[in-house]
Amino acid sequence: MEFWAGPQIRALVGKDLTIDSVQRALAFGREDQEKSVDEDAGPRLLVLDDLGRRWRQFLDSSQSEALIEKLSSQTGYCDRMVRLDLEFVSTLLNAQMIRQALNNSLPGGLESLGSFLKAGNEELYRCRPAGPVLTIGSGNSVLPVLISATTALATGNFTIVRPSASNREAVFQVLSMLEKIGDKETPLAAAARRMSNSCVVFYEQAGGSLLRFLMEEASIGVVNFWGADPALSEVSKMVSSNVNHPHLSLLGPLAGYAVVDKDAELEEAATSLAEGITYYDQQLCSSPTEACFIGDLNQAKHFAENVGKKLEQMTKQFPIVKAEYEVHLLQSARNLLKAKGSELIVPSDGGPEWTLAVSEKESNLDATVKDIPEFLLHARRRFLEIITAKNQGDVLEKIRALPDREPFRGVLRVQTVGLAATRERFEALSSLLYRSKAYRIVPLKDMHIRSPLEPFDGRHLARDFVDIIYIRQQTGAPSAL
Amino acid sequence: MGEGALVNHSNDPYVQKILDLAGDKSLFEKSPDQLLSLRKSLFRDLLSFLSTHSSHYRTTFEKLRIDPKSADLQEDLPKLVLTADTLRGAAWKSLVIDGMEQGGLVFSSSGTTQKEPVQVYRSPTDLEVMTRANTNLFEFVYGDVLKDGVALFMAAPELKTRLNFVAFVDMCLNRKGIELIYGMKLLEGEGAPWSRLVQDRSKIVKFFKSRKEPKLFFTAPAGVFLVCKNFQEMSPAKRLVTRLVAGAPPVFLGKQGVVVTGGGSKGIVDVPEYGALVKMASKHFLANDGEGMNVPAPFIDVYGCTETLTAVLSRFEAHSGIPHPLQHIFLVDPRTYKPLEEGDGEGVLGFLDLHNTSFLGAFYPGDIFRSHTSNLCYGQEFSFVRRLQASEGWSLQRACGGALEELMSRGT
Repeated sequence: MEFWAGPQIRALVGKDLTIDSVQRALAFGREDQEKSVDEDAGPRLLVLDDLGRRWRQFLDSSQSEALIEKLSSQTGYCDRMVRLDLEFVSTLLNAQMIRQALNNSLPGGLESLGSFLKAGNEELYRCRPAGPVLTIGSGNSVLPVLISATTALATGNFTIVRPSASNREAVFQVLSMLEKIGDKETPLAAAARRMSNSCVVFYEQAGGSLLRFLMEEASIGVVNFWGADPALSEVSKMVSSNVNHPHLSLLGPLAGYAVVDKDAELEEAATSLAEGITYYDQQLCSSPTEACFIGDLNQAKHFAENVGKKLEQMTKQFPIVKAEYEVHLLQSARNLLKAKGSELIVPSDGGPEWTLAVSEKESNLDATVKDIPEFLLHARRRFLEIITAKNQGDVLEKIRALPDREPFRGVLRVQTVGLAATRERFEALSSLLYRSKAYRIVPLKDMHIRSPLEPFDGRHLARDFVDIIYIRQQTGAPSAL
Repeated sequence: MGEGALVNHSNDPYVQKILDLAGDKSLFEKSPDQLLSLRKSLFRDLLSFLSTHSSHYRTTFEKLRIDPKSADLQEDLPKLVLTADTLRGAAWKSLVIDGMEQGGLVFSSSGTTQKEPVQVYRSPTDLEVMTRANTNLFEFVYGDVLKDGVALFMAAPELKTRLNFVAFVDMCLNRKGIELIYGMKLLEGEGAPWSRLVQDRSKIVKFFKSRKEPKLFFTAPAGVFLVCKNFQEMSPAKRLVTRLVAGAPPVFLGKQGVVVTGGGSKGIVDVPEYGALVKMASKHFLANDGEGMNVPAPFIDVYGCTETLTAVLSRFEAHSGIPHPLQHIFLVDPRTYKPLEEGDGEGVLGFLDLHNTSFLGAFYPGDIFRSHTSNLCYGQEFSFVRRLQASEGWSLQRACGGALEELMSRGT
């Protein structure tokens, strides 16, 4: 069993993390979490900030090369994409960003973690850690699991992190650096030591029993999982069978949708769309997986050709290698799309790296997937169908319909709408498209970028890791159940 | 199936031409250039025929800007070829021409790939074409005309209406008046047919003891392997008793006897590579060389998928796979799917059945083949390299929120 924990936990656990030893760690963690409940959250944020600084230094050193190579082989992303992913880690560890996020997420803001705050006349709120937290990482990117782990630690939780098979080396590398911060006596040392003793990272091979125990039996406060079905349902079932009834913090599989208006700044929109198609090979919940072009077919084709030129350039910077079976499905899908009337724009040598299909009014992908049932999202890396739409109502219907369509099987809903439109059109469109149930409507260029003020998929993640304690000092609340 | 009125397509000049060509043995005497020229001309005829009899194909050709009258085999065919996965389930119904000739058979793949089986409809005309063409191809590779003897097929008779390979062997031998013994029984029950097959020992013994020759032994490579393994594991005493009762081991296939293999591993994991299998079988399957000497039986391997009307046959150590002259076989670059130049190369195999009169039989079965130039009529020979396979877990990969691999691999 591969694991890392702070020194005090290691002393308790011994050489191996087992069901017995993890229970000792959990008992320690619950007690420690309780002891530090009155501590100011500020130093924790500074420790995380220092961790981000150290991580940046690590990335700038030659030591990072082996890690990047390893992650590239495990995720299928090119080295540059992996580096970009790892560079984002420093941003998410930035103290100012975390402060902003917590201030915007928690009722009463960051301060509510350390003291009761007035929420009204004689009514007070206070947030206390709801952990121990188990955060389960799945997927290729290191960011989701570290966003959850960082938020759990920042809110004072004892946190057990289980990274994914493809990102585990990076997660171990980042979080184990916490211990180094406490090595020297600095103003941050005490907080750093406490934080490193609030964290366990483990990875067990398939068939192990520890993860199952933690979900089904352990005395734990929150289980956080960011993943897709069938694992999502399995995690949900297992956690629901735990008699301690941990709070379930699930973030399901979502997709992005691009909307381009004919009057938008189309040169910039083409670049942005090409970036969205290239970054993470469209595997982010915010990545554009279909696009609408509000305009006529010729305008859409002209725009798509420009996107193709940008993709040609992007592919040089972010190369992609597709498995031969993936290519096999793609090349037949291209033939089918053409036979159904779509205009295809592909690399000049006919290679499989990226594909744009321009379709008039209706998607041709549905019929293609009917013929090639395996041509689902995972087989459509760097693939985008651009459909012409005559007006914004048409766009709304397309976004609404997406989760129910076979080509998007497994996607629960549209998370992000990326809009390229003039300022006036943006306002008009966004005020209509919120009816689509998409969680975010942002400029096309920003689809993959999160502001610290943003909620995660309709809610503030930090709230999943705290209990909000309420005090009413006198009777006479304005309303009662 | 198309909704137009039923038409007797067998009277169509194109269909008549195909029926004639399928039975024409002189095709095997033509030069590669003559055959290619014939296929180019038939390609236009086929597209015209499909366009005339199907709105589906008419629309498709229009959208792809292919004019059947001037279509070019090398340039336009790649636009029309699809993965054979598009034939899974009942998809064939939307592909056949309008007013399709009734009374044919629906063949299905064996279902050993864990996916929904590939299914194709073969009209009575297609079945006739299939019988004629495969018989001629087999005799070309076999080196003689089939007229006497006995055959054993390690399959159950029920499968001749379901599995392509069994059907065409049955029809070809029946046409030749050669007795075909089925060496297996199909048990009642659920699941894929191949998983419900059991040996019919009395039938196998009947074949082994038959005095007719030549003996033709049709089986999957796994069948040869299991027979050899069984013989190798026999104690000397059992071997002697079996020899007395069953007339084997070894299996004597007589003058011009041959082992004909086809199909995949049928779920048996330790089937050796083909050359090793033939070597293994050399002690257990013997034939008469015509001069009274018992020699290891020759092997012919059949590459035929459910979706192909005719097979690609290879004779071990003599030549690799030869298609029927009316089947256009080509290799494409595994990355771009652009056709490779004829000659020596390796790529994804694509084919077009020019003698298919029900639908456009142009598919990529999903296999990598190697080609090399040949002195035989087709001008090229093809050998199977491997099947294209998805890497495990590829469908579970996402950036944020993939699947939890342990839970997936355990299937909990």
